[in-house]
Amino acid sequence: MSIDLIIYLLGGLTIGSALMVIISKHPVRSVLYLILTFFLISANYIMLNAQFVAIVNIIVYAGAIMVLFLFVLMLLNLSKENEPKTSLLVKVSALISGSLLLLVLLAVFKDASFLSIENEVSNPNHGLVQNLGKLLFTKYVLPFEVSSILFIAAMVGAVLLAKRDKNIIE
Amino acid sequence: MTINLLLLSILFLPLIGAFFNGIVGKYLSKSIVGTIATGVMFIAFFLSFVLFTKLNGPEVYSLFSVIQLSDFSLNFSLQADTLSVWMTMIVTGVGALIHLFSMGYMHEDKGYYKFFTYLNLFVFAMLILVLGSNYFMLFFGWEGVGICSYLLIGFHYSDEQKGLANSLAARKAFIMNRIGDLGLLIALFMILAQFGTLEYRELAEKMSLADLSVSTWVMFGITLCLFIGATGKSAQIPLFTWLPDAMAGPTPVSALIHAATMVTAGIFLVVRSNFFFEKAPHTQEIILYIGLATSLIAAFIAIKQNDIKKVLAYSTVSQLGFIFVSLGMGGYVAAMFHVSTHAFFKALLFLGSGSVIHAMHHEQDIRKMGALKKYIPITHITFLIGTLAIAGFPFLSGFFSKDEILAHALHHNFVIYILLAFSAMLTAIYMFRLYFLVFHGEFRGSDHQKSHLHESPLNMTLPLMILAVLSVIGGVLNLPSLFGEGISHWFTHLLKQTDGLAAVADIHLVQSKIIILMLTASIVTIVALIFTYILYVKKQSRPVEDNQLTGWSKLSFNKLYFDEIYHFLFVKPIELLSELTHNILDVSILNKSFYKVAYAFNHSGQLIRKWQNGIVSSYLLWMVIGIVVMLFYYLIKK
Amino acid sequence: MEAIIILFSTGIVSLFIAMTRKPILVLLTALIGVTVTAIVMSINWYTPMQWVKYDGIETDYFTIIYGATATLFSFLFILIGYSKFSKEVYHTGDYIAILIFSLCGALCLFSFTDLFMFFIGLEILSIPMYVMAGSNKKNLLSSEAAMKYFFTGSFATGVLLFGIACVYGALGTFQLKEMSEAIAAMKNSSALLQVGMILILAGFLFKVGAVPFHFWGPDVYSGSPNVVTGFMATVVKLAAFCGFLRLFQLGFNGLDGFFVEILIAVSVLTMFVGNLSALRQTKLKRLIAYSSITHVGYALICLLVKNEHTPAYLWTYFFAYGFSIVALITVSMIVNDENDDIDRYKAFARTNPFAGFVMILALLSLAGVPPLVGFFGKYLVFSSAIEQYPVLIIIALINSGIAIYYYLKVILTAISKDDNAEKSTVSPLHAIVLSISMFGLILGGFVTFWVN
Repeated sequence: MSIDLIIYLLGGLTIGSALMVIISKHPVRSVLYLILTFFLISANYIMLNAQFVAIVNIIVYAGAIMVLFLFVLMLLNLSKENEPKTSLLVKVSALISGSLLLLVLLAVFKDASFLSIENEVSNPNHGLVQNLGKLLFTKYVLPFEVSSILFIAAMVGAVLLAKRDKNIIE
Repeated sequence: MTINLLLLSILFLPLIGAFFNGIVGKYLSKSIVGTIATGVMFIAFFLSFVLFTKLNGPEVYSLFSVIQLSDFSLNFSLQADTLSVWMTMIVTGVGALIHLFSMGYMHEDKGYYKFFTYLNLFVFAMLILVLGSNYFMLFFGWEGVGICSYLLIGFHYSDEQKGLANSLAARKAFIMNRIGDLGLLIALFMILAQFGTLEYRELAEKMSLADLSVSTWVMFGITLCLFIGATGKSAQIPLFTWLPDAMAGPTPVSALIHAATMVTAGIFLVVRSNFFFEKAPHTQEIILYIGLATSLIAAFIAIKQNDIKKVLAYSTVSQLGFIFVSLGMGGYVAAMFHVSTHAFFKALLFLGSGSVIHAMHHEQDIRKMGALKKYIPITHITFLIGTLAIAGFPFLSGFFSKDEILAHALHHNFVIYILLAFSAMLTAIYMFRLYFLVFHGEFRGSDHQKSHLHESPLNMTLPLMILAVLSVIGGVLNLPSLFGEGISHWFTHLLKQTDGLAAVADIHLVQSKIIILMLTASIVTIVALIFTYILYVKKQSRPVEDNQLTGWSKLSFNKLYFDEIYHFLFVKPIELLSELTHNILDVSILNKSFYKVAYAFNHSGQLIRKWQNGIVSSYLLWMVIGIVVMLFYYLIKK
Repeated sequence: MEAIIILFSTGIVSLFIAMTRKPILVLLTALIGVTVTAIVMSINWYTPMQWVKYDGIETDYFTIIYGATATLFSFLFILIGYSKFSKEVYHTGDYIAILIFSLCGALCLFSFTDLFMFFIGLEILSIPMYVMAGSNKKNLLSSEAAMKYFFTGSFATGVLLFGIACVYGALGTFQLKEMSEAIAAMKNSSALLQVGMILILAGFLFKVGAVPFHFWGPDVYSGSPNVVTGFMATVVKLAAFCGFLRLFQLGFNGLDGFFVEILIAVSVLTMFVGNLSALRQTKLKRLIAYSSITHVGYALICLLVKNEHTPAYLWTYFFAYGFSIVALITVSMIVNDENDDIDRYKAFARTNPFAGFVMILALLSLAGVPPLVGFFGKYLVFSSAIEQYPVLIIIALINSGIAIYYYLKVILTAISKDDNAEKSTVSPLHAIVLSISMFGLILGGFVTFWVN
């Protein structure tokens, strides 16, 4: 079994499970498919020699965020009655435009040339946490630090939006 | 004070007066408003006199540049030379006296402060016109006086009976003037295109070069367009009909604007541009004949007019025509001389008529007057002097100035001389007719008017007296050489210092010819005097009612039907055309299509608004469609 | 860089100061911080500070001008919004800090040199806006606005990221300089790169709200609290425009050929859709939203013209536009109407002459009436492109004509007579902002000449 075959298989599986996320009627099932998708993405990362990212992906997304999602969904108590109704027209046109997008992208990428960055990927130590940490604190220290602003803002925002205010409850 | 400072203060004093009265005049008493307006005029006159004494040689004072381009600039600059300063003295001097007169004349008027604001503003514009050092400034002042003239003719626009007529007269004057202004503007652009400058001095220099490479046709075009401008302002054929109508304005306005100053702007323009006209003999000929025709026709019309101010108005047109004849013959100095003396006696006559109208309680019809000499003696004496002066009675100012023009005519062409002399005789006839009808015979007005007849107050009679003195002695400015070399031709020597005028050849007649000329003129005047005396005093002949006129007198009374002809020739077709375009172009095409376009936009707005349906999934759908279209377009283009 | 650090610290300090429950202290901290930022930036103009060096950020003159403008507008919006912020003592610090964080993102967008900083800057700019759009929790519309903005925004971010990935795949670098070198060295254009650029362009068109990516605009603008609407219309739009302009010019060596055609089509569509939808609006903020869509259509013309003055023209345009928005938002805060109906402004200019006057000035400036600053913005943009794209400019002028209709309608409402109209109270802060924007509207034209 060649490496290529594994990569294509993994890719196909990822896309398939991602599709299932959208297609599934039941939200919990959707979330489960989403978790599966994340695991498959992590597998892709490993194939790309990025072990650390793969593990972080599983811990953060598949672990923390998805569990949160599940809890929220269960608490919301969704049922068929209050499911939003989309008109057939929108569904059909969405289908058409989505498949058109796929077609067009395929047509464009059919003969696109990709840069090969073989030699970096082939290094087995490439994706280790040590290398990543070095890069983050030397070459990419600025984006790394500046993203703290983003997180602070997001946190403050989350608190702001989620906090129950007395005057609103009244 | 330096010359520059003098120029500035003369120019801006009236403007300051206008601003002051225009802004706070409403809240001040009439005496303060009048005193300020008149005061600035007297100071300006005094300063221009000082400037006159200090003047040696032309001087240009540039204030700032209005438009500055690489190859030309429009400068706001002033020029002091003998011509401009002389005109300034006339404008401020006569203007000051008329302001003084107005203080009494307008005393009952509600718009007192407004009147003086306009008057001062007019003087400012007129000063810009004469003091500017280029055609741009001249045009600026030219339009300024046009506006003030419009405002002042229609001053009584809210009058219950005559309000509409006054407004129409103002509109007529404005439109007629615009036609002339268009000519002037075209001339300006032609000058700019040909010479690249509008400065008088530079132009005069360029024109005096020997190898002038300008075709005669261009010169003809420029001068003709300049002259068209002049015909508008100076009321020459074919644009003269506005001036008699302009008498709708208050009498001091008629005196200042429509007799003494503004209407001479056209003459000033031609004298200023003498370097162009000297190179365009064809235009000079046109000017000559148009002036002659105007002079004769206006004099003819004046004979049968019954409105005291209309007579004077036609007299003004006639005299201006007289002056244009002189210009057409290259007699610039003679023209300016007559402009000066004319300013004196015509202002005097108008103010005198104002005094008469004042005494008669705004009655202007001479058929209702008569025997006024014993009721208003000062007005009578001064009016008599004015009449004699304009008629060319020996040794009064008009005699000398007219004589000089006649001398030019005699030198030029005998036929023209005869026609001019005839025009002068007509002048004498209608003026004496006017005088006798107003001041002699028996009183023909109502008893009510008779009981209220009174002499005007001092501030009205004082200007009359001063102007009367000037009308008498004005002739000494430019005595013929007959009176000895030392005192004669002072004015000629003065004006010769102006650009271009030195190059214009003088005419020199032999002594005997001068004497014959003067004798002829005197005889013509005296014959006219006797003739009218017999007709109107001895025979007590009175103007008949309007509908009983026959023959030539009907023609004269109806102003040769000029208004009617113009109405038929120009106004009617244009009205028809505009009616047509209004109905077809405006209402059915433009208006409708505009409504349709507006409706289409509005309606499509309504439709497009529905695109925004508030559903997120459809928004996302449209975004995807947008991306797909872009990618698709890329595929096609690739 | 220094400016970003100072601003960030200001935001954090404001958050902590807010614990004292004294809104005025928060306001003062924020104002001082923003002012210091502006001062530091203007010092940079003369002597670049280089004590922190990193190649992800580079300060040039345009960074400073754009940064100073964005800072000025943020300053004004914090002032305007204070009357609302201070009512909820517990959240005053949050509101102000979030606005300041968003401004940090804007500053990143003015100075980035690689795609990391670009993307992070864009997100720092946007995420606070998602939050602020929904900050009026009492109003359902506000929550709806936040949700819509978030959904569409994340979709656009996804598209943008996909585009960036494609570009990386084609060029193998994130550095703008290396990208432009790689593109210059390329013999025939790569499909991957082009698709990446198209997707980035789509992200850009979404961020600035151009047709057909504009749908979020009216809903979000009208649902958000007034100050947030103003902030989005000025600072966010300015930052997004500048950021993408920087990317296109420095990274992709300017747009040409195919992209120019797309931009022309989008510009024309945007102008018409914005204008025609605005014609029948009855709510002021929705009107502002559509009018801002139209203005995006005009501003897109800037991107078409390839010359070194483009950033200056773009800046002039948004500088001019910003003052009008500041004035209008202030007026809407003064009137303080839940429904935001234009009818509510009836006789406003009569009861509040000064505020009404500034409002009329602002609308006239939006319409592009000389000598107000809006005229200069339009004039520069249009005149720069008239030779290359005459037809486009004619269309833009037609649209300016259509736009006058709805601006005048508001003006007419404001000056019409109404005996029942009550005088609204103008707080001192609002009066100050109105005066500043009045000066900006009247004298701004000269500033733009000075800067140009």
